Amino acid sequence: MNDALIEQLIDAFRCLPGVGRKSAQRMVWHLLERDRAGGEALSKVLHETLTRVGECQGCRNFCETQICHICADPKRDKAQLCVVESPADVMALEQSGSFHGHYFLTKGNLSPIDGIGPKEIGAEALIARCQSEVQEVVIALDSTVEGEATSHYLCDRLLPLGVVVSRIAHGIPMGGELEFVDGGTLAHAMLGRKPI
Amino acid sequence: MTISETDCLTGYVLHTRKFQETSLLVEFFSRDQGRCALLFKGIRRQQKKQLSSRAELHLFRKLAVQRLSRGELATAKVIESLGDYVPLVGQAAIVGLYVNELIYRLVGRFEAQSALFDAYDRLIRTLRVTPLDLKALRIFELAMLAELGFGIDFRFDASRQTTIKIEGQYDFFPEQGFRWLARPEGSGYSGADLIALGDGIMSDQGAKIVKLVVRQVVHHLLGGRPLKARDLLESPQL
Ligand SMILES: [Zn+2]
Repeated sequence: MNDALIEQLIDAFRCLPGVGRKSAQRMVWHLLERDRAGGEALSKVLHETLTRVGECQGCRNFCETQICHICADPKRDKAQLCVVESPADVMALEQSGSFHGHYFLTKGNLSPIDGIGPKEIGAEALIARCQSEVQEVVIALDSTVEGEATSHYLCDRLLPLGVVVSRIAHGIPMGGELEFVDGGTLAHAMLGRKPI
Repeated sequence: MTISETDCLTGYVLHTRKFQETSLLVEFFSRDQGRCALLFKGIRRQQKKQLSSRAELHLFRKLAVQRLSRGELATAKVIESLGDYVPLVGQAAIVGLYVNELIYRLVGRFEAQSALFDAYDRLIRTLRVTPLDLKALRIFELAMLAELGFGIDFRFDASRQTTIKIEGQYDFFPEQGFRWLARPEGSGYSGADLIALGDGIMSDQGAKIVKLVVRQVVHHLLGGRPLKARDLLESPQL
């Protein structure tokens, strides 16, 4: 049996995804045995991050200032707003280099059973944001039913504002062979077909 | 190991939640054993590998699954997808989320509800083809309340213990039913509309009435705790 503090730290590490008791224990021993300085640094930066990082007032992404660097960047196109679910999605789109406008994060899809409604996904903030400057909203949410419902709901609320609303295409992955694509994806791709 | 009949379930996924790194915890609405919680171990790993959509565990897709263990939270695996893959789109997806919340909150665990299941199945199939068919939703709502033992009698006047009269105006109370209004003052439901509903005719006006009374009954059944999906149904026709 470990001392109380060690037990507490093991328990604390278990809040991380994918970390069970065994790995948490390994982490704690590693810090105590081999890297006390690293542990100090971790605890300091962890504390500072959690106290100082909040939500960007423009897009709801995490940031240390009131407005994040993307929202504050004058070179980005203010007329285009891309709605995504999470910071990871922003990262993925940024790396693709395919979008140069601003973002808005829903931080989840509508899911009544989980208690996630319009308020939780920031619908009102998004609408407020679209009342000036924004001309086109690109909805880039998951291609699941929940993502579909969320996209439809937002579209319904945004269209009356006179903005153009579009959705990113869903379907066959690049380089994908039709016969290996699952039925659901294929059905979706068929629904989203367009003239060429 | 042989698969017994009770270990194979036909049904729909009502809700999924990520569980640990690779598993999904699924609230399943089965035809023969009602609502149950099933754990699909490792399924998210398969999903990532296949680069495909969530390996079948989509909402509104009819599935055959096999239970691998017993108890409150059984492990399970997907056997096959039944019927077609056409997803619910647009408004139909929102209606679907609403219906799933109704089932989730009103149907108890392991209460077999095969007639209710069949009504759900019919509704989902209708919404796939005609996403704007709200009369189908209203018909489902009535069937659901009837199956749960809270059916609405559109022919009976609870205040005077008699049949609804064509020229009367009526108010509705969840625990009693329709009550005759002595002085209607423009409010209330018309007897003619109620009689038509009692005859199984779902007119546009009838659909509006059903929407309002079902809302009252559901509110009552949930003990006043609001239905979250209600926020999504702001558009007047829903
Ligand atoms: Zn921002």
